[in-house]
Amino acid sequence: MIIVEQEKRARYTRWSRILAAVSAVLALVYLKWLIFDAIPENMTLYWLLFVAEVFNLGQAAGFWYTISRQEWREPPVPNFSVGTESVDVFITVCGEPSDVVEATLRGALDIRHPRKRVWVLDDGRSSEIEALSRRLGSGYLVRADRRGAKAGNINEALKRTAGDFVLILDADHVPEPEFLEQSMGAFSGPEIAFVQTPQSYANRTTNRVAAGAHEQQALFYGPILRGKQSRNAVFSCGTNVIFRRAALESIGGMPEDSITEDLRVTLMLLRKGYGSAYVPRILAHGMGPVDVKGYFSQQLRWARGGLEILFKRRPFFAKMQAGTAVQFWLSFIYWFTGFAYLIYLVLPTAFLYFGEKPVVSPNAYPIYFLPYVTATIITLVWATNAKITFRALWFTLGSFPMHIWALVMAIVGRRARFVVTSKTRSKTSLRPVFPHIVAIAVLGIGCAYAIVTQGFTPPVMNNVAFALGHILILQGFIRYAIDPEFSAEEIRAFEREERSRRTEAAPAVAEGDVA
Amino acid sequence: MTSTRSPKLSASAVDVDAVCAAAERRSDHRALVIVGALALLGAVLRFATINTRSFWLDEAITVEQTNIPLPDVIAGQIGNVHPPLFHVLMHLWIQVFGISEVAMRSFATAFGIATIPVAYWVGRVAYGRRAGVIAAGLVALSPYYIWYSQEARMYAPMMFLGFASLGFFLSLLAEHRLRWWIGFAVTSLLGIYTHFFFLFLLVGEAFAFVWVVAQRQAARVADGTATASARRPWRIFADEPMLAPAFITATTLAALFSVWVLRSVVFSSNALVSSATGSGLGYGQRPPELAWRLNDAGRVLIEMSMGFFPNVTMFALVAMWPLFISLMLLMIDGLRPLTARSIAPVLAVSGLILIVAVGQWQGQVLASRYFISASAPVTIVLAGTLALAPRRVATPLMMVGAIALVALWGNQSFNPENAMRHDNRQAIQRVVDSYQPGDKLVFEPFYTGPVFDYYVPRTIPYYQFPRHGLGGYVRRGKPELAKDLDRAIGPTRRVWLMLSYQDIEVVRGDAYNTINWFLRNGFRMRSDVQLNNVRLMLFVADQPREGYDFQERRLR
Repeated sequence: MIIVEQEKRARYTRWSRILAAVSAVLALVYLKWLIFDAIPENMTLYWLLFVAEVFNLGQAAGFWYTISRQEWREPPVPNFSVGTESVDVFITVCGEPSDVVEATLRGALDIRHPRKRVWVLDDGRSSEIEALSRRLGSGYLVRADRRGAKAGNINEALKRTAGDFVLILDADHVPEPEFLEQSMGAFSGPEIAFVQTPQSYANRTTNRVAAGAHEQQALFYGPILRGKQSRNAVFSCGTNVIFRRAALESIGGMPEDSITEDLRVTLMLLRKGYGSAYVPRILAHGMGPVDVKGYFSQQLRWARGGLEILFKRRPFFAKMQAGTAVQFWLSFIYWFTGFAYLIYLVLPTAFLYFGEKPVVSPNAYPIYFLPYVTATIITLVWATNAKITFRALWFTLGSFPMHIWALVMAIVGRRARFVVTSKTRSKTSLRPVFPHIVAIAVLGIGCAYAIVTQGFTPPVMNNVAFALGHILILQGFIRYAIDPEFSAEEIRAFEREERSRRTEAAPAVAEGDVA
Repeated sequence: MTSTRSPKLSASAVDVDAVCAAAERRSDHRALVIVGALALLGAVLRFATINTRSFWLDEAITVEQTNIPLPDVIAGQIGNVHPPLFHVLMHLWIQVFGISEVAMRSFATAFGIATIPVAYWVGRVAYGRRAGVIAAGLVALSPYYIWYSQEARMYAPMMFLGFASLGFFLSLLAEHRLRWWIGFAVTSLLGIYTHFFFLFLLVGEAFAFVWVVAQRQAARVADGTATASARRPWRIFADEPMLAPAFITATTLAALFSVWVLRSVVFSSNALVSSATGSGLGYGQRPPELAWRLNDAGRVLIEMSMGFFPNVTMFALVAMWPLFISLMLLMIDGLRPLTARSIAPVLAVSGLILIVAVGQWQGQVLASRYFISASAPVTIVLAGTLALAPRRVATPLMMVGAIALVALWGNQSFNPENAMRHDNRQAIQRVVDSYQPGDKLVFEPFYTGPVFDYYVPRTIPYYQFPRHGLGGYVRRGKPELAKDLDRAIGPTRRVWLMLSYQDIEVVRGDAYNTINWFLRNGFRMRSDVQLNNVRLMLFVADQPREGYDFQERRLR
């Protein structure tokens, strides 16, 4: 989570806007050069570069726009004792290990609210889970079939419960006791259909993949959702979210025709005139994907679901406000990133093997490109309060095979199936990173081939440098596929760092403990 | 904060403190022994190759400018591109040690060796003991630092003062004490009187200081202890105890610096058109293409590591600019709000940016020696990075790095292909040995004149082309060259042509045209040898050249 302290927010927002404006100007200068001044050499490559750059600039412009509109809302802590509203807590289970479910269930039962009822929605129909829920004193719901996957599971539970609000938790997301106290206040009016809170991965300290996924999500649950909130474009993320039952019922429950029912339900509620809210406070700790295969399968599901909605479900409607529409557009086009990245992989490859390049003037290129890319990186660092990591970036770019696959599937129209992200590590395999190995091999051999056949000439070295940059980005997933767990030394170092951070934050307490 | 520890706890705490203090002392002692050994090794590396190359132009100029009476030394620096401190000190040094190559260069070597323990101190202040030792190692072993510790110029003193100034600066930020302020003021003043580009470091330090003060004031505003406001901004002097001494130091430095600058630069019409603008890239001209300048900046890396800069390699390296993006992405994890430890990186980057920015208008600023003004923070950042990295990564990396540095030093100092070595002595000795009355010696490039003044015996006439600017005759055209050569050679029948700096394109062009002139004017090449990377040719005319008016001493 990217948190900005209250006293720094004014400065943070002001500089976010200034940096966004500077980046936009430099981007336009670069675009102007690319369109009007650059001399194309190979027209196919030029247009590929052009498409990728325009896409990138569009996405970057969207990011700059989003971070310029960030809002902080501090919901009041409601006094539950004087209210009458009731809350059902749904824990959706589908084959997760019982110890994982137990932690979540215990956390849910500890949530402070006088009219709360906890339900385990077990699509795995496990007797162990049933015994667990009976032992701990929660409700236990099963259904005859698994129609509609997670959405169907929730809909079935909605029929059999009656709370005014519904908190949805994945089986591996352990809530804090103050979950409802800190979030229910965001239901400021009857038009708010749901309140989303961030996802945080507790296993990021032991698992590299979870750590990468956590860092990647930090950007989304920080400046991006804070910006989307100002345009009423916060979308449900499937877990750690509280729905108003009346709102859900007004659209006939959770939509069962999408594998990303969370995004789809957001759009349906929006169409009904409802709004949403975001509370940027970590109130539950989940389990991130534990291996590369799990991470890719999660990415693929999200990408396929998102693109399916874009292509088939008419997400936009006439009354949708422009700002809201822009934000949803940005969320959808994110899944085209893989295609743009593929183009960036093709460009140096084309030169290294065939000597073909998109533009003639190599000297002018860095003059226009470097200021733009530097400003973009600085803006990103600032917007994330210097919390962005290189791993978060390569997790995004390195997912390109999944994004491309999802795009192709969405175009050919093959129907997607809901897959639960695995919570246990599968056998070590390089299969998920096969495209990465191929790409690195192609780039590496291309470098050697070009150097041998053409020598250390400036154009060759320029493309070798691009290829090395890509190899740097792509190698990470191969390493993580071989060894996704942190070493004991790394875990200890992380714990030491955490301890010193806590000590720095609260020296008086430490002193008191000694006394 | 008061502690309420029990007597038993206190006693054990004292024991722990004593044990820790003893361990600290042992570590300090060990570090000092290592630094001492590094200083010794640094001294050996510097003295071992101190005389493997002849003076180059600037060193020969140092002899010309300092081997004269002291008032003339100072007067000679008025309007010069360099301030006078180095020249005055060098003059005094010469009085004791003479003007041999070793004697002249030992002055720089002394500063170069002294920089090693100073680097340890700065690294320790910035990132701790381990970083200090690594910084000392880098200074001791780096071919870049060794090279400039062997040059009879002001770069080694500048390097020493740069590290010292940075050390005092970091110390005063951590601890507001008078001695740090005095140390900072003195070293900074000596620094700018040694080389004007010391200002690059001072500007970076000023920038970092303003940033730190702004952050502290923002914290005071946040916790309500600030008394300054938009209406009473001067109260910031009461809020921030470091501001008053900073103001006094800055004004004192500016005043003492202006004593020389006003005399030397403002009232001297030649100051801004002196040798630094010799390339024709004078102030106020249109900036050259950035890509070309990046090429110059990148060349520095090669020169630093290998001691020479073949153009082809340079272009290829500069073309690898996309790696900068990868580097930026890799560094992204390290970018955090400014803390005391991150001041050195800010200084390093801002110093480098300043040099490159000024280099857009003043191309020669991008020569590697001028980067010494930014080298102290860069070295400390590198040492800090290695010190903070996990040991299992850093230790083998440092061992490999140390071996590589020593290998590069060897390559730089002993590789006969290294154009920067340009040892003219063997070629000059060959001329002296084979000299026949009436012979003439012509050399390229024209601007190496002071080197010949130093080495060539007065009995041998040698010819220096008129100073047409660095562009040489390639720019001015062949007729101009022919006219000058005609005038220079006259009726001489045996001419020695010596070429150094053959890696520079302009020199190669001039040399090509010069050789052609000889071959077309009745001369034939009798010998052509490479001696320590200097090309020596002997041209002989079988009969006096026709068309030359011996009375008028010009072409008919």
